[in-house]
Amino acid sequence: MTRETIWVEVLSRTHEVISRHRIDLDLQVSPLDPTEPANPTTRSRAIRVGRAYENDVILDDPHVAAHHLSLSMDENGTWFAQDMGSINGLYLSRGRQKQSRIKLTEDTVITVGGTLLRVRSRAAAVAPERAMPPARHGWKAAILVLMLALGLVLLQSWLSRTGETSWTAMIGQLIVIGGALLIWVGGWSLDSRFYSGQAKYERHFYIAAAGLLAIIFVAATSDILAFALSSSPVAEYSFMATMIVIGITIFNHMREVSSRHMRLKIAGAAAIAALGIGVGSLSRSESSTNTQTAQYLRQLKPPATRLVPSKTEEVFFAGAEKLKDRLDRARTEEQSGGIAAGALDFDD
Amino acid sequence: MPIKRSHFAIACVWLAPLPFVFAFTFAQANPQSKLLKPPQGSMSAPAVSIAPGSITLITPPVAATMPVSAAAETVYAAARPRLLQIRTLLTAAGKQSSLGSGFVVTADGMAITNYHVVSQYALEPATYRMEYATPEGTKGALKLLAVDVTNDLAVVQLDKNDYPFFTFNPRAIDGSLAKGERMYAMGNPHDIGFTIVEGTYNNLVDKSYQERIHFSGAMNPGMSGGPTVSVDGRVIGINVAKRVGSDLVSFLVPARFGAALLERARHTMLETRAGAQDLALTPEKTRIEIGKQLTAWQAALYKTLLEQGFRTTTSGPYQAPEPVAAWFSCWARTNGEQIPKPRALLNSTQCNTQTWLFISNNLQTGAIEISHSYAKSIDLNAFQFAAFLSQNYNLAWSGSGGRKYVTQNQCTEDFVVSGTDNAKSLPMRVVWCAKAFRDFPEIYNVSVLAVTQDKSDQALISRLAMSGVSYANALALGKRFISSISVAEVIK
Repeated sequence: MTRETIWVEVLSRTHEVISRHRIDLDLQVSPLDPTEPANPTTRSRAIRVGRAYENDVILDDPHVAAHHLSLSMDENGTWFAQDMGSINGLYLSRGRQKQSRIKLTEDTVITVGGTLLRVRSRAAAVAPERAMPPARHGWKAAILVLMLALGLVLLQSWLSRTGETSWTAMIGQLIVIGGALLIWVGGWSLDSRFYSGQAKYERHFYIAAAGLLAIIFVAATSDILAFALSSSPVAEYSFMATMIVIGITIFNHMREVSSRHMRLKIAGAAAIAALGIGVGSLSRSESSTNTQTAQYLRQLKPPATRLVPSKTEEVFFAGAEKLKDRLDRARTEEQSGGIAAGALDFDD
Repeated sequence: MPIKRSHFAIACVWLAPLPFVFAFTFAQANPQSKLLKPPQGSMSAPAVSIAPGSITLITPPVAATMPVSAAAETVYAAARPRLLQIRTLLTAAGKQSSLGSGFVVTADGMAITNYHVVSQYALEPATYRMEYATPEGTKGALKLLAVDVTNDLAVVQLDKNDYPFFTFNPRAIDGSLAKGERMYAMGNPHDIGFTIVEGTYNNLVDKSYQERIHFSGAMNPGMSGGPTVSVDGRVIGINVAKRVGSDLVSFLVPARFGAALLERARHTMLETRAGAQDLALTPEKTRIEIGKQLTAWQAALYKTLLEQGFRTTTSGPYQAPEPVAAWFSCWARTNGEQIPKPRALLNSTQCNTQTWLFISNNLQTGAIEISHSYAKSIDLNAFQFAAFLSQNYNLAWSGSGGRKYVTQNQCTEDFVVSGTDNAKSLPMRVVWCAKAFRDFPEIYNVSVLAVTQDKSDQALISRLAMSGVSYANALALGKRFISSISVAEVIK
């Protein structure tokens, strides 16, 4: 075999290919002094890389020397990268040690100035073909979910309206939600475009709209459920469900950006949800300590939504009587400067 | 708040301790005001020493037929050596933090003032100290001997003996004063000098659980604790409060409460066979004493309330309990005439006692409030009507006091069926919230809130707030209140 084709690939930080340079080599030409100018028709086994226009691969990177490195093959067919006396030198992509010569395999990534390079021959193996994901969630689905979410917002605002209907307020609400959604989706699409080259706008749109729908659904149902079950914790801690929904939504977005580092992404999304829950709980506990505001269910719903049976007066006032002990304990405990007892305490 | 307090509440202010900021500004703006010296009057005073345990009355120094101005002049001349200004000073700064007045009532130097004049010192003697100043400018230390928070009175001890002193008017003690009788209030308003103010006696205040004399005369902050005397110079009452936003509507604590507290202080002194100097109240004793007084006071108040029970008023299809006692002041309002037309009707009534016991500047207690709001949907659906109710589903205000004075609110709430009579029983949602007073065991602020749950387009929201109440009394009145909310009998 006298002719060989080599691909020099410029990679992104995440090792996605930004550009590929095809170089045809004539192997019959004996190895030359790499400093000698390349012959445009019959190339030597050495490929020159640098910022100068004499090079086979030109890198427009200010941290790359005019003649930065040469790539050459030895008798055994192994490729090597050789530093040609640059200031910034030659590194393995994950290495910290400046190298003068690096042995290249199909997967070796080298750093030249600020640029990542990989050299592959025609024989390089590629990943098997991946099946297309089933054609779900196109624009139609995304818009349908968004309409559902906005419809739920309108329904909720209509059901809680007790004064005159203000159309501007309603439309304004939709514009604010829609605008925020567009900014959110735009951010994730940019991210996707940056890391995986595809914006996947409709996928991100679908994920965001589904998240919005879930959040609004949680908000709408938690009040009704809290009233129906006569359980103020349901209303008070519904923000936790909201935070979990936000965590899941962020995870879905991240998964759509790229499918790498999944464990890290799961951990990141969980951390965001946990942070939200933590800050929310802390602010609740602080505000209940610092204010004398009574904590009770303030959102009434139609009597028909009640699910739990009514108590008799005796049972209710027996419960009220029990509060006395807690108050008397709080009277002595808090006096000694302790954090208010019972901020997160429902055991009655 | 569905019911704005400003619509209902009639505010009384204590003629309270003159606030520091005001005093300071005033002194700066009017440097010459410091130069004002009290007029030199006759120093003659009847040196009648009285036997402990009895009240000896001095003979009237003036005839009632004298011209008015001359009467005031004579009254003041006789009163002057017995008047005091009572200052509370921040010990660290040595400057006054509140001012009031007082008057000497025994030859051995006991004086009466308002509790609210000495409350800072009484509760926090480590931070504050107390001193008196006479119209001549003599100053001296004061000791606190006894307090009566329910009548806002205190007995203090001056640091020397042989004082001329005031006596109580026997006609004031037995309540035989005539409406329109001329009276003279004295004290040192705004720290600008001792003042005598002429006014008239207008009987006891109606609609008040506490006995208070209605004095038609000008009173100002700083006069608190000063005496109001009849033409013969004998004490009828102790200056205590005035109504804000009105003219010359002032209140006095009747003399008999002063006499009783003085008796108590003296009695303690005799019992312990100790000098008054050793009887000074420590903050612990003061707190215990105030706690006892609050407990006794609310016990009597709630006994009366529970005996009287409630009368029911009808609101739409509901019957709501209303207080019977005459000392509740009741008001009503509606949103019916509002523009834009309300989408649900809301008729509210509110009854409260105009009774606030002053404990400290930030803690007033003792009031009871009962209010009802009847709501009926005009064109709201069930969810919208529930949202409308939610806006009005608030606890009544159950008293002042921050974290320093009360614990956090602890609440319990549930769906409850009121009453045992099936025809009249009513499903409701009831909230019970209570806070405990930190300094006074067995005293709480309790708030009850109920909303009927039998219809989706009509409801009655009922509120009961009790401040400074024992838990047992709160439970008793709360139960009575909830079980009195019922469905009105259908009239055929």
